[in-house]
Parts: sequence; C-alpha cells; structure tokens
Amino acid sequence: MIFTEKKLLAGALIVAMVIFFMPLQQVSAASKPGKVANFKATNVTQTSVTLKWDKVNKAKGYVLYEKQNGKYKKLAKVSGTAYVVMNLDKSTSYTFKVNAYKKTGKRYMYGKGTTLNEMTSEVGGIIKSWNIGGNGKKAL
Amino acid sequence: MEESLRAGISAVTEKKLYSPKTATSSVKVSLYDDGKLLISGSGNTAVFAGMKNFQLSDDYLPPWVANEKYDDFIKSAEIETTVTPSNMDFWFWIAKNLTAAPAVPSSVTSLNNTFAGTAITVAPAIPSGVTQMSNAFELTSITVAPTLPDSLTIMNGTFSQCKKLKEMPKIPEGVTQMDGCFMYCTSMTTATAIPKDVVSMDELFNHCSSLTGTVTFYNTAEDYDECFYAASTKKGTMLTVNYGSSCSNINKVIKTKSSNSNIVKGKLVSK
Repeated sequence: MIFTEKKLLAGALIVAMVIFFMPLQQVSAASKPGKVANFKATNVTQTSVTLKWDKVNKAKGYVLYEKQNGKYKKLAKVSGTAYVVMNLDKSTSYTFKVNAYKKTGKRYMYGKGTTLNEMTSEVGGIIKSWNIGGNGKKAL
Repeated sequence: MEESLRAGISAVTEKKLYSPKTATSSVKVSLYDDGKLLISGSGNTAVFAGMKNFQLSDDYLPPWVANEKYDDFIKSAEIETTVTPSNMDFWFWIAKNLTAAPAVPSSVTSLNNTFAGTAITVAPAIPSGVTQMSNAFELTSITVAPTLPDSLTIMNGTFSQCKKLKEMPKIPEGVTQMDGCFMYCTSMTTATAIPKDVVSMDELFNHCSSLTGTVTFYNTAEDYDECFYAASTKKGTMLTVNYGSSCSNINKVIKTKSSNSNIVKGKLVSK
C-alpha cells in the first residue's frame, strides 16, 4: 500500500514538473530577441561617437559593450536605438558590440551580439590645410 | 647649421606661398592639432622648387614649410597611397620635430632637401625611379643609408652632416654629381667606390674623420676641391685610395687631404 502511494506521488511529481517546465522552455526558445542589424558609427569626432542600429522586433532594450584588453565591458543598457559614447581618445581604434534583450518575468533573454570592429576616432582637428594638387610643374 | 639654413626665410603672407591655379588635382595637405601632416586626395602635386635665381625663397617652398610656425609643429606625416607626386622637393625641410619619415610613393623621381633637418633616425625606402636626392638627408640622425636606386644621378650633399651614419652606401653607376655628399659624416668608417661618371665631387669626404679601409675612384672629376680635407684624422684610421684606369687625376684628389689625414695612395685596380 505504502509502495503504491509512493509511486503515485512520484508520478504526480514528474507530471507536475513536466507541466511546469515545458511551457517555459518553449517560451524561452521562441522569444529570444533577434540579432541587431545595421549597427554603425555616426558623428565620429575626436572624443565621441554615436552608435546607431535598427530596432529589433519585440526587444525591450539593448546592451552595449566596448572591447577592452580583449574582453567586452558593459557600457550601457538602453531602450532606444542610438547611444553616444563619450570620452574617447583621439585617433584611437574601438570595437563595440550590441545585444538586444527581452525580459520575461525576472528572466532576461539576449539575442546574438552584433559587433562594430575597429571604429577609429578622429585624428584631430585640422589647424590648417592647403590644396597642392598639380601636374608636376612648379607651384608658382 | 640649422640657423644658417633658416636664414633668408622671413615672414611672408600666406597667399604668396602657392598658387591655387595650379591645383589641377585633388591633393590636399592638412596639419592636425596633434602634429600630423596628412597628404590626402589623389593624383600628382605641384612642385616646390624652394629657390628662385639660386636663392632660397619662401614663395617657392611648400606653404607648411615656409611658415616656421607650421613646420616646427609637424610631428608625423602620412602620404595616402592615392597621392602620386613626381616631386617631393622640400616637403619636410627642417621639420625638426618630425621623427619618422613617411613611405615615399613609387611615383616620386625627385627628393631634393626632402628630409633635411628633420629628426628622423631611419631613412625611408627610395623608389626605383628617383634621379635626384641632393641634401635629402642632410643633418639627420640616420645610422644606415637607404639602398640607392640605379636611376640616381645627382646626390650633392645627400648625406651631408649625417653624423651617425656608419657606412657609405653603394653608389649607383649613373651618378654624376656628389659635391659634399658625405661631408661631416664623422662616424662613417667605411667607403665604397666612386663611379666613372662622377664629374663633380667637391668636399665629398670633407671632415669624414673616421674613414678607414679602402676607397676606389673610377672617375676623373673636374671638380674635387677639399675632397679629403680633414678626412681620416682620427687615431687608428688609415684610408687607402685606389683608382681605376679611367681616373687620371688621383694624385691631385689625394692632395686635398689635410696634413694630419691618414690617407695614402693605393694601387691601380680594374673593375
């Protein structure tokens, strides 16, 4: 009798677990945000750059990273599709990454990262410039 | 020496410096606030002869060189690969804070005074079509001379006052003028050969106090004033001067040495 009750209890527990976890697995696989497209740098100056990207369907927001010493360091979590990175060093190469994310309950789900490789900040301001185009003959 | 090179350059108004009318290609020179001189665009450039009636003239210098304020500010330089100048005379002349030479485009045929008075320590590669390099590296701290192209004909003062230069490079057969080419190269210990077509070599080894070993003259120069003056004077030096059959005035050339020069006449050699 006791054996039968234990079996029944165990069976019920398994059924309950299957019911609990199955929908969650399906939700998580189905609703992972897509990969960010058209990730680009605009308004590049000596000290800042504006990063822009296309909106990802059903994403709650985006996480931006900067590669530092071979590892990605989180820069910001934003809800829009643009972010201004400040305090750049001039004439320096930077690599950025963005992931879209979605939140379900307390769980965050991240899409695949999109990388912007070796964006270079402006060399510096031009003090003076001269047009010296010519045909190989004397300037004056 | 730097002061004397600068002498004669005075303040001028910028619009006199170059003529935009000659700007038939898109080449632009930009000086950035970090000291970088960027030559961008595409095509050939105007030529800056540097001199008028054999006198240095601000009007004929590149505008960034003629104005000392800009010239002294240059710390680095880059020439975009789309820029194809035939002549780079005076481009970095006395840019005393320029520490590294940019790559010289393969289109270049003239490098007169190009890097003179800069702080470069390594010479750039010289393109195969270069014919003139007078004073190209004068007053620089290069320790090794670049390989000289067979196209080269004129090299007056090319390495003059390169006081860290250790060895004399091989001189191409087509060279005709070598006035002051190694003057005051006081660290240069080795010499090579002077080709048969060299007609002018005033002050060629003047004050090359460390020269030792052998040098061979295959030419009969018309001009050789002070060719060996104060050469091979350091303790332990001994320079032997050999000569080819086409050299008919070797005794006169050797006589340009100083009384304390350790220079002796060698033997007739065949090529």
